[in-house]
Amino acid sequence: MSLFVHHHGAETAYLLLYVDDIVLTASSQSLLRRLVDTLQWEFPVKDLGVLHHFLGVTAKPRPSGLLLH
Amino acid sequence: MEEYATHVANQTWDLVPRLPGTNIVIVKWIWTHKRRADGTLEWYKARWVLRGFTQRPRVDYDETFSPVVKPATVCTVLSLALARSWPVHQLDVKNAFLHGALTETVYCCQPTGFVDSSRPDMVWRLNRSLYGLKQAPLGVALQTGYVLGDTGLRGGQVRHVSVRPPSWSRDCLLAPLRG
Repeated sequence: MSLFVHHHGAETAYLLLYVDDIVLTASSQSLLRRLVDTLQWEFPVKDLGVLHHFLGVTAKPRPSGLLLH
Repeated sequence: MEEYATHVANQTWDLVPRLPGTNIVIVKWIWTHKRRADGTLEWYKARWVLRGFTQRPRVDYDETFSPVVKPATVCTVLSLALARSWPVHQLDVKNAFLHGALTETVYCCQPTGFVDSSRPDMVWRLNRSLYGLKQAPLGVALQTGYVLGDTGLRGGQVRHVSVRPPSWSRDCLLAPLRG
């Protein structure tokens, strides 16, 4: 398991890496976009959009939170 | 074929003569059906895998590493993101295992259907990790950590030596903290 943390001024981002699966969250859409762009310079990385499936778990947004099942 | 083309582009191997006394790792093709969310067939995926159990310790590999995520860590990160209304995306690294550079010398036979007809007796000497190789995930972890380090992300790796993915025993609702 690898957790990568980005802290710069007011900017924060967390990246979870499991083999070739990545979950990336950032304090703003622009930071997230920038990090994805940077990763794409180094790897053939595909942005699959908003988190819906990670490590065999489905993530569904609910009014009360995020349902993982 | 995409898998083969990627290996060629990445210079995964060199074709070399089979030397006496070297261990040749056994390999096989794995075919899987990739299905769309509705269950219909999207494409066939071929993967060239090395049978890691035919490797010999200290000959073909020194150190192994299986990165495994702790569910608690995933939940913590997602809870934080949810509480702060941050966007959460998922990304996929194509051919992840091909990015790891190898430090040991590993030989394997040429893949069925892709044998060089003029040099059928030669073997591949691998330059990069392949699926199934005992040290494959290690190469990826190091390489990915190095590259991500360059982007300003600081790696705080937690190492768990295990071959199992994390188990999720029951549904879990992450509720944002309201203050």
